[in-house]
Amino acid sequence: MTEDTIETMSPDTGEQPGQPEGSVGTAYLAMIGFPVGAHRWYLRHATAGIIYVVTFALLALARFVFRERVETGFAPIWTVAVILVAVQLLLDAQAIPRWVRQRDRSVPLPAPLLLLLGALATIILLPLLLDGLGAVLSTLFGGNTRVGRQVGTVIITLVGVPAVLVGYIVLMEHTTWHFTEVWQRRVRPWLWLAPALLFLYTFLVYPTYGTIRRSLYDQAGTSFIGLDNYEWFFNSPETLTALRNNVLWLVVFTALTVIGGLIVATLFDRVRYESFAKTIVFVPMAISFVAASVVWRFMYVWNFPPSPQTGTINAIIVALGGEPIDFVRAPGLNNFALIVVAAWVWVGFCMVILSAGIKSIDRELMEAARVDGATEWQVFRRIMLPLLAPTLAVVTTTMLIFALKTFDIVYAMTSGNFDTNVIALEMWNQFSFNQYGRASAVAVVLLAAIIPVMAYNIRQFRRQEEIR
Amino acid sequence: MTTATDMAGSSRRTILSRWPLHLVIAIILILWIVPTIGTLVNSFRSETAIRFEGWWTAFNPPLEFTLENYRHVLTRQGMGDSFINSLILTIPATIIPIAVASFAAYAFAWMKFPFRNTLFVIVVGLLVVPLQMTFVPLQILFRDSGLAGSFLAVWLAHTGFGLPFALFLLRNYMGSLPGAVFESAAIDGASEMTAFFRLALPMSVPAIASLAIFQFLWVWNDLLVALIFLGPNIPNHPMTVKLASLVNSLGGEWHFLTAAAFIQMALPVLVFLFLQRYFASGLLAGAVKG
Repeated sequence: MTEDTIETMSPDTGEQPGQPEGSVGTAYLAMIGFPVGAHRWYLRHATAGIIYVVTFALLALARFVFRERVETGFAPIWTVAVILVAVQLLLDAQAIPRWVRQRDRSVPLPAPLLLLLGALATIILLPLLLDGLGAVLSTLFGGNTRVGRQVGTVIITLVGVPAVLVGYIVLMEHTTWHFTEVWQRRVRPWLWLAPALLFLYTFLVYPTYGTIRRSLYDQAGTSFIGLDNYEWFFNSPETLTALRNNVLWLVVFTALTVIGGLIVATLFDRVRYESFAKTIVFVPMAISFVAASVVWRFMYVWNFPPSPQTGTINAIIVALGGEPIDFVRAPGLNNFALIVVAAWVWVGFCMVILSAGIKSIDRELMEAARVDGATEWQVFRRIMLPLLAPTLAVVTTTMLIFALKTFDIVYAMTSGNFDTNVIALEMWNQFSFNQYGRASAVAVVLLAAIIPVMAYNIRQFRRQEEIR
Repeated sequence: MTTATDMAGSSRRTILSRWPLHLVIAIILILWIVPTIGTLVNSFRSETAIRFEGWWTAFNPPLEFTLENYRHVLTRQGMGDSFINSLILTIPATIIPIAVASFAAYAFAWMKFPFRNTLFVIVVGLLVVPLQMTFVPLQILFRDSGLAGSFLAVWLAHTGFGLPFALFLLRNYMGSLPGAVFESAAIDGASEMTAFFRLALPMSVPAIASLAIFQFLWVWNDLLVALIFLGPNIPNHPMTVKLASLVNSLGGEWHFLTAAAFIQMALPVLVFLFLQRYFASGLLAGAVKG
């Protein structure tokens, strides 16, 4: 499937998806919502349940393979579903009189009734609910049909997805009802893991493989060109600048945030208004990098000298008798200006984690050292720092990864101009030029840079697990 | 009584004697807050004022503040729509991964099966895989399935991207719950489902709360994923993408930018301030253990 999708890919990204959100949502929700309505029925009909689920999975797969639109894919799915339902209804209709005669209502409702309810709920109620809710919300949003329908979809998704998941688990538990205990124990974990593994595979594992593969193909994805995309990456001045800047980010950003966080955490640890001070430094974590870029633009503004400096930093420089600097454009300096913005956001993160590390150090240890005549610096250097080493390692690796992936700030502040380009931004550039081969190669370079950190993380994790 | 006054006196003395420390902290705090304050002040000023005078002059009489920037951004630049788009994107993209992860996290924490550790090590590895690795194949997948540019595509993508961390955090948290509780439940004949819904899930509420805040902030503030998967579908753009395009298109017209940035910041900062405790505990559970 991957092969043809890559091959038939049109070079034009400007193509708009030609279908309304609502129908997609309805189709998907109806498809998965149905088993929930009918789940109790499978208590006694494990085989039918399995057939049902497998059929739906196959149909969904077929839809992807044949690349049909959701609308058209919708019809055959429902035709088969209705046939399935009808057959089961006929087979099971005999159970109704028995259930009616029975006094004990804890016995599960017979299949036909439940099925009917489930089918009604999904086939009729759900689209109706979606349309009705959409209409009501549209009027609420001042006749904005698009937003109204979408908010409706959101509400149904919010209720639907957890319900479907719970339904899925319940369904699976009932489907394995008549298995022996041993087999139940063998099968159950995989059934519980399946949704998450499916997501991980579809959205992380399979794309990673696809990207590595794609990086060896040309722009259209049709012919294998070996390492040409990598040759381009390591030979064009633009990407080499990006690479150099990322090294700068790796060193300077990591140093700034980790050392800054350590200093701030140590200082704040000694005062009573610690939590207030920490909040102030921590709050930028909640601000998006785009907003942070806007905020910092007013620190960095540079006006052509005769006019007064409206940027905070330049105003201070001028007040002290210096020459104003154009921070965003000044070659060499502008990278540091961008890194400072990122550090302003992330020092809070380092501070919180290091602060918790400091709190976990035994106070008596430090007191004892002080009594023995150690200076504050010695206490910090000989006691705190060694005990903080594991925490520092965690913080440092996190910052390294962030420095490698940095994108938003550069995108918003300079768009990579004035020699501030970074790898992640170069990937976006190639992606938006439809240079999918080159974009993939850039992504692979990024992954390769991250792999040592990944290996370190896994080793640390293994060690932690041994202690557990 | 005397000891209390003594203590108060001594603490006053230490505060006085430690003034350099307090001074340094005060400087740090001022450095941290000045950029935001400056922009906030500017967002209430007129275009000419922003252009020709620094924000600090705004407090010189006569005081002239205006809401014009906010009104303009909300009505004419389509920020109002993109605010709703951000909500539409963020809420399902927060709930779905948590729902998906909680079952799997329980399985990882309390069920025994072959390859359990290997699988979880893969999850730990996936934690740091750069999202860039997924963009090209996912974009093709979404285009072929007719989902390109739709909210559903972004929800699904964020679910996939958020899952490793969600699994990691929840599995560690659920794994640290007392095993005796689950053992005695099993002895009393409780099924795995009962143990999950009645014990594991309610006991994991703190972890789920911090995870929810995390994912919310991450999706709300995300620029890259929205940029890639919503791409040319402009009506669906969330605030971050809108804001970034304003930065590029307006250039000189910064007075709108300031207001737009503050509208974008308002919700996450509020969420953050009120739920900071959960956020910090989530950070610690996620980072220190890894």
